[in-house]
Amino acid sequence: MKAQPIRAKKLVHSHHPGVIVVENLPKAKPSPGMQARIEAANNFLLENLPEDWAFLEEKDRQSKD
Amino acid sequence: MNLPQYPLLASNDFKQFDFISEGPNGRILKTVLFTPIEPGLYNLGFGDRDPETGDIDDLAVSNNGDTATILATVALAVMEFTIHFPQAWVYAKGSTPARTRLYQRGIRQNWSQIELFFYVRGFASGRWRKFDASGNYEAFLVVRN
Repeated sequence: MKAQPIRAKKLVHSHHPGVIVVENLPKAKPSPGMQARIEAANNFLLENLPEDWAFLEEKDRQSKD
Repeated sequence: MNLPQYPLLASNDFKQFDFISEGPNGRILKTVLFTPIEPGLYNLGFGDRDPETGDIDDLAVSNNGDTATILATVALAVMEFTIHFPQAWVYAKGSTPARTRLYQRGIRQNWSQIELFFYVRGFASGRWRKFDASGNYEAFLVVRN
Protein backbone atom coordinates (compact mmCIF):
# COMPACT_ATOMS: atom_id res chain seq x y z
CA MET A 1 0.00 0.00 0.00
CA LYS A 2 1.55 3.31 -1.07
CA ALA A 3 0.96 6.36 1.07
CA GLN A 4 -0.25 9.70 -0.16
CA PRO A 5 1.14 12.93 1.31
CA ILE A 6 -0.64 14.22 4.39
CA ARG A 7 -1.73 17.81 3.95
CA ALA A 8 -1.84 19.96 7.05
CA LYS A 9 -3.29 23.42 7.49
CA LYS A 10 -1.82 24.47 10.79
CA LEU A 11 0.92 23.34 13.13
CA VAL A 12 0.74 23.76 16.88
CA HIS A 13 2.85 22.82 19.88
CA SER A 14 4.21 19.37 20.76
CA HIS A 15 6.61 18.21 23.45
CA HIS A 16 9.14 16.14 21.50
CA PRO A 17 11.24 17.26 18.57
CA GLY A 18 10.06 15.13 15.69
CA VAL A 19 6.41 15.37 16.71
CA ILE A 20 4.39 17.84 14.68
CA VAL A 21 0.86 18.55 15.81
CA VAL A 22 -1.56 18.91 12.95
CA GLU A 23 -4.90 20.56 13.40
CA ASN A 24 -6.64 18.72 10.59
CA LEU A 25 -4.88 15.38 10.54
CA PRO A 26 -7.02 13.05 8.40
CA LYS A 27 -8.90 10.83 10.82
CA ALA A 28 -7.99 7.16 10.91
CA LYS A 29 -10.19 4.30 12.02
CA PRO A 30 -9.54 0.63 12.61
CA SER A 31 -10.46 -1.72 9.78
CA PRO A 32 -13.40 -4.01 10.66
CA GLY A 33 -11.01 -6.88 11.43
CA MET A 34 -8.79 -4.67 13.57
CA GLN A 35 -11.85 -3.29 15.39
CA ALA A 36 -12.90 -6.84 16.24
CA ARG A 37 -9.42 -7.61 17.57
CA ILE A 38 -9.42 -4.40 19.64
CA GLU A 39 -12.77 -5.30 21.17
CA ALA A 40 -11.61 -8.82 21.96
CA ALA A 41 -8.42 -7.47 23.52
CA ASN A 42 -10.36 -4.91 25.51
CA ASN A 43 -12.74 -7.54 26.83
CA PHE A 44 -9.79 -9.70 27.77
CA LEU A 45 -8.21 -6.82 29.64
CA LEU A 46 -11.40 -5.86 31.47
CA GLU A 47 -11.74 -9.47 32.61
CA ASN A 48 -8.11 -9.52 33.69
CA LEU A 49 -7.42 -6.15 35.22
CA PRO A 50 -4.14 -6.05 37.13
CA GLU A 51 -4.29 -6.52 40.86
CA ASP A 52 -2.78 -3.10 41.37
CA TRP A 53 -5.38 -1.36 39.25
CA ALA A 54 -5.97 0.79 42.32
CA PHE A 55 -2.54 2.25 41.61
CA LEU A 56 -4.09 4.06 38.68
CA GLU A 57 -7.06 5.26 40.71
CA GLU A 58 -4.72 6.52 43.39
CA LYS A 59 -2.59 8.39 40.85
CA ASP A 60 -5.75 9.83 39.35
CA ARG A 61 -7.06 10.91 42.75
CA GLN A 62 -3.75 12.55 43.64
CA SER A 63 -3.74 14.47 40.38
CA LYS A 64 -7.13 15.95 41.22
CA ASP A 65 -6.23 16.90 44.82
CA MET B 1 15.39 6.76 23.09
CA ASN B 2 18.43 7.30 20.97
CA LEU B 3 17.22 5.27 18.02
CA PRO B 4 16.32 6.54 14.57
CA GLN B 5 12.66 7.55 14.44
CA TYR B 6 10.38 8.80 11.71
CA PRO B 7 8.86 12.27 12.09
CA LEU B 8 5.42 11.93 13.65
CA LEU B 9 2.29 13.87 12.82
CA ALA B 10 0.01 14.10 15.84
CA SER B 11 -3.68 14.94 15.94
CA ASN B 12 -4.41 17.90 18.17
CA ASP B 13 -6.07 15.63 20.73
CA PHE B 14 -2.85 13.53 20.81
CA LYS B 15 -4.71 10.27 20.28
CA GLN B 16 -3.63 9.65 16.69
CA PHE B 17 -0.09 9.69 15.32
CA ASP B 18 0.86 9.19 11.68
CA PHE B 19 4.21 8.61 10.06
CA ILE B 20 5.65 7.41 6.77
CA SER B 21 7.78 4.27 6.59
CA GLU B 22 10.37 4.51 3.85
CA GLY B 23 12.15 1.54 2.35
CA PRO B 24 12.50 -0.79 -0.61
CA ASN B 25 8.74 -1.25 -0.82
CA GLY B 26 8.11 2.48 -0.99
CA ARG B 27 6.53 5.05 1.30
CA ILE B 28 3.89 3.50 3.53
CA LEU B 29 1.56 5.46 5.77
CA LYS B 30 1.42 4.09 9.32
CA THR B 31 -0.89 5.11 12.15
CA VAL B 32 -0.73 4.69 15.91
CA LEU B 33 -4.17 5.07 17.47
CA PHE B 34 -5.00 5.32 21.17
CA THR B 35 -8.62 4.35 21.77
CA PRO B 36 -10.28 4.55 25.18
CA ILE B 37 -11.35 1.32 26.88
CA GLU B 38 -12.32 2.80 30.23
CA PRO B 39 -11.54 6.19 31.76
CA GLY B 40 -7.76 6.27 32.14
CA LEU B 41 -7.21 3.12 30.11
CA TYR B 42 -6.34 3.14 26.39
CA ASN B 43 -5.73 0.53 23.74
CA LEU B 44 -2.71 1.07 21.51
CA GLY B 45 -3.59 0.17 17.92
CA PHE B 46 -1.06 0.25 15.13
CA GLY B 47 -0.93 -0.59 11.46
CA ASP B 48 -0.76 0.51 7.84
CA ARG B 49 -3.37 3.01 6.83
CA ASP B 50 -5.31 3.17 3.60
CA PRO B 51 -5.07 6.88 2.74
CA GLU B 52 -8.33 6.72 0.81
CA THR B 53 -10.59 5.07 3.39
CA GLY B 54 -8.66 5.96 6.55
CA ASP B 55 -8.83 2.31 7.61
CA ILE B 56 -5.91 0.96 9.63
CA ASP B 57 -4.86 -2.60 8.81
CA ASP B 58 -3.03 -4.09 11.77
CA LEU B 59 -2.21 -7.29 9.86
CA ALA B 60 -0.44 -5.63 6.93
CA VAL B 61 3.13 -6.76 6.33
CA SER B 62 5.14 -4.05 4.62
CA ASN B 63 8.62 -5.66 4.69
CA ASN B 64 10.20 -2.26 4.35
CA GLY B 65 13.34 -3.21 6.24
CA ASP B 66 12.81 -0.62 8.98
CA THR B 67 11.29 -2.56 11.88
CA ALA B 68 13.58 -1.00 14.50
CA THR B 69 12.82 2.52 13.28
CA ILE B 70 9.09 1.77 13.27
CA LEU B 71 9.18 0.41 16.83
CA ALA B 72 11.14 3.45 17.99
CA THR B 73 8.58 5.71 16.32
CA VAL B 74 5.68 3.89 18.00
CA ALA B 75 7.55 4.33 21.29
CA LEU B 76 7.83 8.06 20.57
CA ALA B 77 4.07 8.16 20.06
CA VAL B 78 3.59 6.50 23.47
CA MET B 79 5.98 9.03 25.03
CA GLU B 80 4.09 11.97 23.54
CA PHE B 81 0.64 10.51 24.33
CA THR B 82 1.54 9.93 27.97
CA ILE B 83 2.84 13.45 28.36
CA HIS B 84 -0.67 14.64 27.58
CA PHE B 85 -2.37 11.79 29.48
CA PRO B 86 0.07 11.14 32.32
CA GLN B 87 -2.41 9.08 34.34
CA ALA B 88 -3.35 6.83 31.44
CA TRP B 89 -2.50 3.16 31.26
CA VAL B 90 -1.73 2.03 27.73
CA TYR B 91 -2.63 -1.53 26.81
CA ALA B 92 -0.63 -3.10 23.98
CA LYS B 93 -1.10 -6.50 22.46
CA GLY B 94 0.15 -7.39 19.01
CA SER B 95 -2.38 -8.29 16.33
CA THR B 96 -0.61 -11.67 16.12
CA PRO B 97 1.57 -13.58 18.62
CA ALA B 98 4.59 -12.77 16.43
CA ARG B 99 3.88 -9.06 16.74
CA THR B 100 3.43 -9.32 20.47
CA ARG B 101 6.87 -10.96 20.59
CA LEU B 102 8.19 -8.10 18.48
CA TYR B 103 6.85 -5.58 21.00
CA GLN B 104 8.45 -7.63 23.76
CA ARG B 105 11.83 -7.60 22.02
CA GLY B 106 11.54 -3.84 21.56
CA ILE B 107 10.80 -3.32 25.26
CA ARG B 108 13.57 -5.71 26.28
CA GLN B 109 16.21 -4.12 24.05
CA ASN B 110 15.40 -0.65 25.31
CA TRP B 111 14.50 -1.56 28.88
CA SER B 112 17.18 0.57 30.54
CA GLN B 113 15.61 3.68 29.06
CA ILE B 114 11.98 2.60 29.18
CA GLU B 115 12.05 1.89 32.91
CA LEU B 116 13.15 5.46 33.55
CA PHE B 117 9.81 6.70 32.24
CA PHE B 118 7.33 3.85 32.52
CA TYR B 119 5.94 1.34 34.93
CA VAL B 120 5.44 -1.77 32.77
CA ARG B 121 3.36 -4.86 33.40
CA GLY B 122 3.25 -7.99 31.25
CA PHE B 123 0.49 -10.60 31.23
CA ALA B 124 1.77 -14.16 31.58
CA SER B 125 0.37 -17.41 32.98
CA GLY B 126 -2.96 -15.85 33.81
CA ARG B 127 -1.87 -12.74 35.66
CA TRP B 128 -0.17 -9.40 35.37
CA ARG B 129 3.45 -9.27 36.47
CA LYS B 130 6.10 -6.63 36.74
CA PHE B 131 7.95 -6.70 33.42
CA ASP B 132 11.09 -8.77 33.50
CA ALA B 133 13.39 -8.78 30.50
CA SER B 134 13.67 -12.57 30.66
CA GLY B 135 9.92 -13.16 30.70
CA ASN B 136 7.49 -13.94 27.90
CA TYR B 137 4.23 -12.04 27.86
CA GLU B 138 0.92 -12.08 26.02
CA ALA B 139 0.15 -8.37 26.46
CA PHE B 140 1.53 -5.25 28.10
CA LEU B 141 0.30 -2.37 30.21
CA VAL B 142 2.37 0.76 30.65
CA VAL B 143 1.84 3.92 32.66
CA ARG B 144 4.12 6.85 33.35
CA ASN B 145 6.24 6.56 36.48
